[in-house]
Amino acid sequence: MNGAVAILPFGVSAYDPHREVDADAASARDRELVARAQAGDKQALGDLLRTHGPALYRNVLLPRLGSEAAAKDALAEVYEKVLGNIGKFVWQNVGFYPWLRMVALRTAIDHLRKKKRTVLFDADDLEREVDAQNTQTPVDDKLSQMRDARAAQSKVEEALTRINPRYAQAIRLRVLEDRPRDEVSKTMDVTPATFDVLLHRALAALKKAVMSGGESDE
Amino acid sequence: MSDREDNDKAEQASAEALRRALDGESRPANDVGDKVDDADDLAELAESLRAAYDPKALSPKDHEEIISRAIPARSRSNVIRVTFGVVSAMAIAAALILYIGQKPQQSMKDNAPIAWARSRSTAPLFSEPLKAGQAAARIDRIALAREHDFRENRFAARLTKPERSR
Repeated sequence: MNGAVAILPFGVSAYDPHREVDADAASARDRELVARAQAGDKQALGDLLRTHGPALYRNVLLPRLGSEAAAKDALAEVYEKVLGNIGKFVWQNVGFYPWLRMVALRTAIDHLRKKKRTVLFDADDLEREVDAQNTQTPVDDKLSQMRDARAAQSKVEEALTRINPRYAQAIRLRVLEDRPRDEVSKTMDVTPATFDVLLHRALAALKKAVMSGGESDE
Repeated sequence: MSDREDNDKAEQASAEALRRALDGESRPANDVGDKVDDADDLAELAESLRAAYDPKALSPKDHEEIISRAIPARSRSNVIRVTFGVVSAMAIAAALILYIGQKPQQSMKDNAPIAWARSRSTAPLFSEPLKAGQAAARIDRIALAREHDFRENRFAARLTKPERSR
């Protein structure tokens, strides 16, 4: 049984018998694909990656690496590692996704250590996630993906609390909600040119807070 | 111009560069220096925030490209095996073509009658008396003719010379 009882975020638990059947069928399918992939069937390996890759990219790699290009490179690297190590994978009741996620986290850690970019996550954040996966009880794939997505959003929200609320609002409206510059300028009651300077200061303050790990003094 | 005015201008230029970066506009050719580096850093941070807050899905086309790049249909070792196999097959085919190409010649040798060189008798040459000084020259010509016939017959026997002319 793979996650029949799901502990949802915000502490709500739910039991869904249909979900149990779906999860069992998916698990059986994955198990068969893994066996075939371990026997050298590339098609089976491709099907496994087609099943789990999009969620891995969207919930693990892209939020942590901070750019589509970096996330795509990392995903390709993850797949190469999977190809080279699929023989070492031992099927357990938790399924294939947690193993794939662990490979992805380790790959992302390597990328963040080598990075020259300004991103929200750093390698230590991901090390903590790897430790958590090693020590916590495994959960359903969908729940794991939801938690990853939520953790990334929380990281953003937490960073915004460390800067001036007006700066945080500018970033929220223009960057996170992707609203047009003119609209945001009106909402914040400034000219567009002044808003550009305001947003510049806001991001500079956030960068300082993220890099220092504490509050920005601006 | 005061330091404050300088700073204001620099900040405005950097803010404008950031706006362009966020809007995906290309930067002017003369737009270089610290202000652009600063704006690029901040634009990266903004991209990182968007990626964490509302990550976009990977398109199926891009995903297929990544899968096919990471897991080629044929592995390197398979490619080497296939190449070796193809080269071996071509070598065998070439050997067969050579063998079959020689076979008809061989059967020609077995079946076709060999046109032996027939040496003419030299008896008539000696029915007349030899004049003084002519004997050695005549015997030399006979010896040359015999040598020639002998070589022709050896060639004919080996089929190194299909047709002989005399």
